[in-house]
Amino acid sequence: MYHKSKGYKVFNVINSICLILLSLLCILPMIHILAVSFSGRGPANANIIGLWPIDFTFESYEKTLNSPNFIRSLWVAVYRTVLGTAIGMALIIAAGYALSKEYSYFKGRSVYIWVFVFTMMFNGGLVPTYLLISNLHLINTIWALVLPGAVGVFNMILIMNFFKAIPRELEEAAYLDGAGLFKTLWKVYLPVSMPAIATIGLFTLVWHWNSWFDGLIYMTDSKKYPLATYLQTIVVQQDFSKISLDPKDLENLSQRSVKAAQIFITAFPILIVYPFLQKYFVGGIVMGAVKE
Amino acid sequence: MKYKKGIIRSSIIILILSLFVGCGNGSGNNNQATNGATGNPPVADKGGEKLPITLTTARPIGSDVIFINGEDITNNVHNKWAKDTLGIEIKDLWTTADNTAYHTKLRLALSTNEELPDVFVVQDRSLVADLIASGKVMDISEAYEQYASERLKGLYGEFSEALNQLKTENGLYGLPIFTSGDGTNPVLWIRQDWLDTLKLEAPKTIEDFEKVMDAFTNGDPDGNGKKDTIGFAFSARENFSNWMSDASFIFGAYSGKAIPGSWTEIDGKLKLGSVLPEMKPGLAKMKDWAAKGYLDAESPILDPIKATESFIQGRAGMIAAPSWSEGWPLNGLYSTNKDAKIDVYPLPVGSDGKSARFMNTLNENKVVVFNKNFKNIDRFFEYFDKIYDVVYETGDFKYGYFEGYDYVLVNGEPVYDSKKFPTPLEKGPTPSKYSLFWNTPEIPLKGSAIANRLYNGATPTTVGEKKAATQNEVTIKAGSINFDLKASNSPNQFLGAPTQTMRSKGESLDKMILETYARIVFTDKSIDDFDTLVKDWYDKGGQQIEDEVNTWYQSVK
Amino acid sequence: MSVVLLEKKDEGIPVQIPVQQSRLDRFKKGFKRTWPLHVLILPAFILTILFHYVPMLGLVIAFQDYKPWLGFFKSEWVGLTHFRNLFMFEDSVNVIWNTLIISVLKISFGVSVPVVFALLLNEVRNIGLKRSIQTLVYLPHFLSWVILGGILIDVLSINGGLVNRVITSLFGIDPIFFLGTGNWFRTTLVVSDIWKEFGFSAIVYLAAIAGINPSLYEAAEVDGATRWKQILHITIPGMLPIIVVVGTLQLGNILNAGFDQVFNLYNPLVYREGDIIDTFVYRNALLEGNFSFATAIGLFKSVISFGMVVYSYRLAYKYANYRVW
Repeated sequence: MYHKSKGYKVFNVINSICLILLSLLCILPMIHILAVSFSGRGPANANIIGLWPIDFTFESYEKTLNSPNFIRSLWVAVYRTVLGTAIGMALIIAAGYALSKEYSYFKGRSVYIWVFVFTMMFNGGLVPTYLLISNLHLINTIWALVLPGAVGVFNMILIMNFFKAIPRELEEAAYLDGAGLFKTLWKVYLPVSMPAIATIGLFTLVWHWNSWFDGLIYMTDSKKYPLATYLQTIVVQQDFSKISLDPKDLENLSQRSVKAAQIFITAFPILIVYPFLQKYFVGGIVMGAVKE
Repeated sequence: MKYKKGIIRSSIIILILSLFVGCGNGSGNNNQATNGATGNPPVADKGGEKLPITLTTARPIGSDVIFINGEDITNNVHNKWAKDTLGIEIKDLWTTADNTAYHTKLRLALSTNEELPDVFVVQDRSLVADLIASGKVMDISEAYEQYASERLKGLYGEFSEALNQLKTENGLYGLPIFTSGDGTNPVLWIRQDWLDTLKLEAPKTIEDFEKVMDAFTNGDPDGNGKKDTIGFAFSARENFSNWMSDASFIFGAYSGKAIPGSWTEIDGKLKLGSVLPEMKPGLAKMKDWAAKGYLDAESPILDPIKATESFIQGRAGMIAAPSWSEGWPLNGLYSTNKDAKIDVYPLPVGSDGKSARFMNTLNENKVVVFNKNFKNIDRFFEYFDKIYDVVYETGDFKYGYFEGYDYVLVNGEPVYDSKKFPTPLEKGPTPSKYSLFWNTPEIPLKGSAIANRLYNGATPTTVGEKKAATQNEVTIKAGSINFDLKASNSPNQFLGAPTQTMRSKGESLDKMILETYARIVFTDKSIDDFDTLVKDWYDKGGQQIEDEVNTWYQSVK
Repeated sequence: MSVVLLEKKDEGIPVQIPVQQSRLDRFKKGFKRTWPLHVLILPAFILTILFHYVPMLGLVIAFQDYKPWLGFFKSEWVGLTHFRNLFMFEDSVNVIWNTLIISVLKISFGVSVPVVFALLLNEVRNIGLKRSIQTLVYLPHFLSWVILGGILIDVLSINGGLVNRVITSLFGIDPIFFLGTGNWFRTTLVVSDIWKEFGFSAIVYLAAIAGINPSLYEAAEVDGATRWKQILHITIPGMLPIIVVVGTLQLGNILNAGFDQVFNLYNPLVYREGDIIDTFVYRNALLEGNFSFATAIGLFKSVISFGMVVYSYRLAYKYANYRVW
């Protein structure tokens, strides 16, 4: 039993300490942003906040949460993410499952895979894609945000590889019990692949949550922007000289504390969802199904 | 080899599929074009009867546009006014949340042959050039002659060089929308408390400037016993001439006219300031200053706004920034140091009085253009003239736009501060930004002239003066100095579309200039490399650019 | 198909019809068995054709002097001019070189660091600690480079930035101008990129580890294998397929050095070491609305990337007899 060996215990302590230090390094910027979001306007704009707020206030959060645009965008983002993830996952799992079959069994496999992989490297670019979406009359609809990116090829390849790693015996046993292809997917593959599905689900979710450019070009009204697009238009350093030369406007536009609050609130839902998915891929789960 | 076959097979399918959709594209566009064209008949505008028309536009609606009473951009007091008084119904084809996104979408609309709005503002010179080249925007030379009001003609007559931005040999393709004109011209902001501590006078010449910088750097002006201050903050990330955190005047003090990044007329020909030999002494001076620690070695990685931080955080003692900067961003200094005092002075001049400073175009490159299918240009000019009521203080708008929005009359006297309204508003609405022009079009240079009169003791009588008089003292002083420095303005005199060589090689050449400047000042690159830069610039396409620019210049002269 | 026919011909079989028939038959027979698989793929396939392949028609503008108002059909054809132009610029070679250096470093560390991290994290016994660490390292992924760029400029500042304060007090050396000297700039790009993404990238490896059959470890335990041996012979082989897939696909990024990051951090002092293809295209084509040039460079990048992926796929197949997918 290696757990009990002295060497391993020492390693474990050192390892834990190193990883804790590493994770501290990773949250410093988030803490900084939080500190800025709770700081008063002046100190925030002067950029003198470190890891602790100065002139503590909730003002930025009140402002953000009272802004109708922000709340509207939040809903668009939730809608888009839920719909997009559901559709995307269904497509990816179905196709990934089919593609995980042996070449000898499923001859068309390679063709399909390369057709998909090709799109990871080649794309038509902005103008033709926009023309297509516009001719399909998807402009200003949620489908313009959901459908074009629905088939995440990287995720599909990943899930296919996870499926491939599942022992053939399981599948054969299911066949012997009289289960068809679909039933095997549902009853055998999915339960065993929860770590993979949680991972891919997370990737899809995060992708939808963070995508901003499509919202910008496919929505003709800034009220229909998803949150990421909304945030992008606020956070990106504008060429202020083009907007206004009125210091009052500029001060409003450049408010760091409000920006920080918005960055944090935008990241927040993903951070909330995370632990629910995380339990599937970070240790502790015994893959009972596999043993049977 | 399997996948190869796969690719071939799938590409055949794709080809077939795409042919269908390709055709679809074409016809779809045609439909769009016919549907989208303004279906309004030409106005039968006889006997003062005004047929109601619809006017389409597109614009950015940033968070700086503030609405009240549940209004928004499609439904507000301005649109109602336009409809009721002028019979113009304003319709937004699309809006974006910011300026960059607006131009992205506009470019996309042009690239996909979407119908353009009837009237729209553009603030991007190469996009304006493309719009004109596309033949989709209207030549308004005749309409301008016919419909523009006398005062508009007078205004554009006075600042006629601005029209060059929209002139080609074929006609006039839009109008510049004037802003304050000198709103981004720099003046010198100094830590007055540091000057006082060190018993120094504000610098008048570049020599004085150097002395003050030396004292600010080595004399411990903040009295904390550490050598942690520098003389002067500026940005060298995008240019040496900037709308904020500027350094152009240092070059101007030696050249007297040209500054980096601008085209200036010298002996009848336009020359790019950056590669004139007159830049060398300024550059050498800056190198010297950087070596002595007067300048921030990080200047090349700081953008114009970020560069103000060292002033705001109390590390730098001087900065060249617009006349309104005390209101933002320099006021940030007070939140880091309550006892700090900022004052404003004219930019230092060369030993023989030479000076030049950065100036943007009178319209900050903002122009309004028209869809060539727009049938009601006469009505537009009527609207345009009405909007100028605000600036000329005439007609419906003599106090401001709309009572209860940008002003309230209290005992017959207009009040502009929304916090002092009978029902005070924390953030007053901004009806000036509901217009087709994103903001109130102005009379160039008028603002600083008013500030100058006020600073010299005039009593405010007009609305414009009264509004200006509510600004704080140092801002009025800054405006007045901005006015006094008029003679040293060095605007970019090349206003044409980016020329062919500019489009193909301009970026690389600009990059070469900026890199060489930054390296000369801040690294051990020798000042004599400036001569190599000039030679390289001319050899690698600069000569062509200069010729093309001068061809344009002759054509508009 | 032609390959098959040729072979048969060489063998002297007189007519081709039987061959085709048998192929057709086999196909029919196969299809009868596998049609559900095609059905499962169909939705994804249709969407891919529609939203990815159809717009590829637009790639023709790479060979045109595309004028939006003339459209795809009437714009002038210029052949390979734009591709040649890419190499005509004074700084093209320099820019391509920078891109390669930065992206190769990013790819190699971008794959290896998360793998090592996942292995180390897997050794943490305390589940709570394990999950907390994992949550924290995943946070930076959610900050855009616009934000991080500003933070990095402050943290790396030579005027009392946090990092330089630590360096000067620990090692007693002069502050390092990370963003203003060429080699440090590249190092900064790579390190900060890895720092931002390793936590997020590690998730997929953690999932791979979680998917390993625990009975394998139990058996090894019984055999008295040390932990190191278990990692070497169970954990790593279990992750390997995923590592190989991710690595192969990462090679498709060989000409992507990270536009957002570079754009927010580069500056005149490091143009020579920091300017990459994407920033170059942004300045020279996109800002000017020169879609043809931008598309041509995009296509050039795509071809190289695809070549890299195909090449590595074939290498794996040829030498390890391993199908990456």
